[in-house]
Amino acid sequence: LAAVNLLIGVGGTGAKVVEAALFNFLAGFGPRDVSVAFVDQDESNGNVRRARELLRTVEQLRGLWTGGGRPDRWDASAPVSEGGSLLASVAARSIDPAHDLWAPHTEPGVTLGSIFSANVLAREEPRLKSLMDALYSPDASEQGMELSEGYRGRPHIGAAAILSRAEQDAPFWRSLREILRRAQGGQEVRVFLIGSVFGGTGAAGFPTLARTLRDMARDATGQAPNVRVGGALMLPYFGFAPPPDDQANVAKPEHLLRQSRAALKYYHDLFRREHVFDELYLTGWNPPFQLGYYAPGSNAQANPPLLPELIAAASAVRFFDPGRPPPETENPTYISARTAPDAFGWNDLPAVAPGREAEPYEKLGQLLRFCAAWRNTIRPSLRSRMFGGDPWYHKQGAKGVKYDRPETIQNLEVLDDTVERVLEWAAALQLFATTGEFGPPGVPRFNLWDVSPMATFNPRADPTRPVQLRPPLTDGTAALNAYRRIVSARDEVAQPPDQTALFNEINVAARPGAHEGLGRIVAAVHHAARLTDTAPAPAGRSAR
Amino acid sequence: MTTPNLPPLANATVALPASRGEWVAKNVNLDRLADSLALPGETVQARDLKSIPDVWAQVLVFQNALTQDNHPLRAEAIRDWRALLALFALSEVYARAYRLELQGLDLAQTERGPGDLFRRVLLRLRPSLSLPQAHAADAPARSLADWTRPVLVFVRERTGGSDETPLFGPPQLAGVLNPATLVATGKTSAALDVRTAPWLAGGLATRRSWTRSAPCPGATTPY
Repeated sequence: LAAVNLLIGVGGTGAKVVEAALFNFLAGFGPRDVSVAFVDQDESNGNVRRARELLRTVEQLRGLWTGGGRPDRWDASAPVSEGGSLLASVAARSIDPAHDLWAPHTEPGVTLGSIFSANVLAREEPRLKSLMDALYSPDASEQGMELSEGYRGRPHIGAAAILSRAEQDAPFWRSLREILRRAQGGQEVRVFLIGSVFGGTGAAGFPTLARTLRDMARDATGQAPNVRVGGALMLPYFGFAPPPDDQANVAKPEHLLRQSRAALKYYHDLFRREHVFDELYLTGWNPPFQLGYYAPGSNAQANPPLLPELIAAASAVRFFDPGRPPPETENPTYISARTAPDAFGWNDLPAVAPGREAEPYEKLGQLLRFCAAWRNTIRPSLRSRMFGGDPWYHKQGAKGVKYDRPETIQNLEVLDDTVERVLEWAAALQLFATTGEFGPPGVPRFNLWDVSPMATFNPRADPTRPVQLRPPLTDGTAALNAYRRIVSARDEVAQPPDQTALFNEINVAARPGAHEGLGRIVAAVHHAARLTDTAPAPAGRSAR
Repeated sequence: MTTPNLPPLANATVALPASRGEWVAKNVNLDRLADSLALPGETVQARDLKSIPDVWAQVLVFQNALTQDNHPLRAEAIRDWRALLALFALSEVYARAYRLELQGLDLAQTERGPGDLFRRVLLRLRPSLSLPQAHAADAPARSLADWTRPVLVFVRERTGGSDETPLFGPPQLAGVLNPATLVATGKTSAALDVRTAPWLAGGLATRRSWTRSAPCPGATTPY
């Protein structure tokens, strides 16, 4: 039986790492399937909202384009060598479409005091209330702090609040129980949690959920033999403007490192006496990426994607990979490094295993090149039939497609939306790696990709939407330039083939495989956008 | 020479990856990594340290501060701890000034009540830290290392009355007896104000210096 994989983003930062992981999955980099869930007390958190929207988009894309019997379909399950496509080949799905986000407390005006009935305790169990007062200030800063927008950098409050609702009979927990139950039937279950050491929900939920899930997974002997729990813990990697009110009851940037030290020492003590994680991955950054603004929570907290989240996503991909070698030590804690403090290239992204260093470049790069070619060249031609005379149009079966069919119109809308999400994410990540608008840039020499020909950057206009995609570059030279620049070459590797090579390929022969309608064009363009022809097959999976 | 994908480090006592682009677990120690973080020089107050994701964070921060040489709250924790210990040590000497009251709780009680949920959370996350003496061969049968039975420490300041029938003020929560530090401050301990106990006059919050004018100065004088 294939392993069951479960990815849980805890808090806003956790959601952003899940977002980065989803782009990896979209590129075909990841396990065959993975269930995804989110935990955030702040239901309107912009980071969580964006990641959930992406998850829904990816699910919809797979449903419309890769399902059996669809008029437009590419085959995302066959090996690449047999004509299959890597595009969206990882089946990422929410654990429950209606309940993929668990907010522990949704009651309006909820506080820690109300959760534990502090007023009743004061009357009926005064000793317990006194203990509560010893552990949490009875005033508005802790027991009376409203939790509707999260735990405001107070994970000790979040830990109590989350645990008070964990394991309850809610759909989210029923789904988790269902997944964990499979482990008792002998199936391997891998759970990967992502949180931060410095936030509110993420910091509170990261260890609390891991401990709760491990408890839930125990069998009658107290063991959980088929369950592996991994985690990516984000250490400080970005800075933000201080809150307008210095006395505000919120997280403050100058305290992040101090908080992190205390939290890491807590984890050190906790892990010495309790088996919580089978594998733990740490990622942070110096100098911190600068956001330039402050957002305590809610919709406004829609921070741009940042490079360390892509690194942490690589840890999730690694954890779920069935073919990688087993850990060399018991319950290891992993860290990673880059070549230079001011530069980051493809070879700096941590690999799944030795010998597989090229995978991120090949798969993410291929996705980016596909998006550039699709948006600037292929899609406009389908829309206007302006290239109707081109050989590829006939070769890949584009001529016979019924473009006014409602299903095809919807399919194209979802694919276009996905392509734009990829490009916007990549552009924003690039922008906030290199911008010096708010302080020293995190990575002045960013050598993963360059989306600038296709986007306008304006970090100061609206921090939650720092990039705007330009209209498709229908001018041939501009499109060629965008395609050529969108993926930076790997170190010591020759410049990848340009868009001419892509057309040389799709003009000559139809992409083989069980593709239908427009799906064959998509599969052909995606395949022809590959960076090399020598991609090694990932161990543990069929050659794809 | 590589650059770790970590926050700023001042004195890297952890083994950093020798090569880029891989996950390395050799000799990664969270405690040493914590000590290696390059901290800004800002003044820290207890209320600023909120990063421990645990319902017992108040006690755990106190324990950390008490036992770690470089903890930013170490001096404050030692001062508070000694003040709390002195409450016990000098309770006979200051019998006319204040009275200590200890109230125990059984978090594992089976009797149902409105506090069931909070008790369950406290139990689930109860620490296992304890002083080494709690595990000694001659330790009491009900071990001191029992986080299921914390004890609240209250102080009642004498407000008048006679020696035969003294009057005391309302109980003030001074701290919590626990297996890790014997006694730890609580969130409300800072407001503790026992004017007749010189080392607590004005409350823990004011951090008044210890006085040599009090009886038994050796017990309350910094050394």
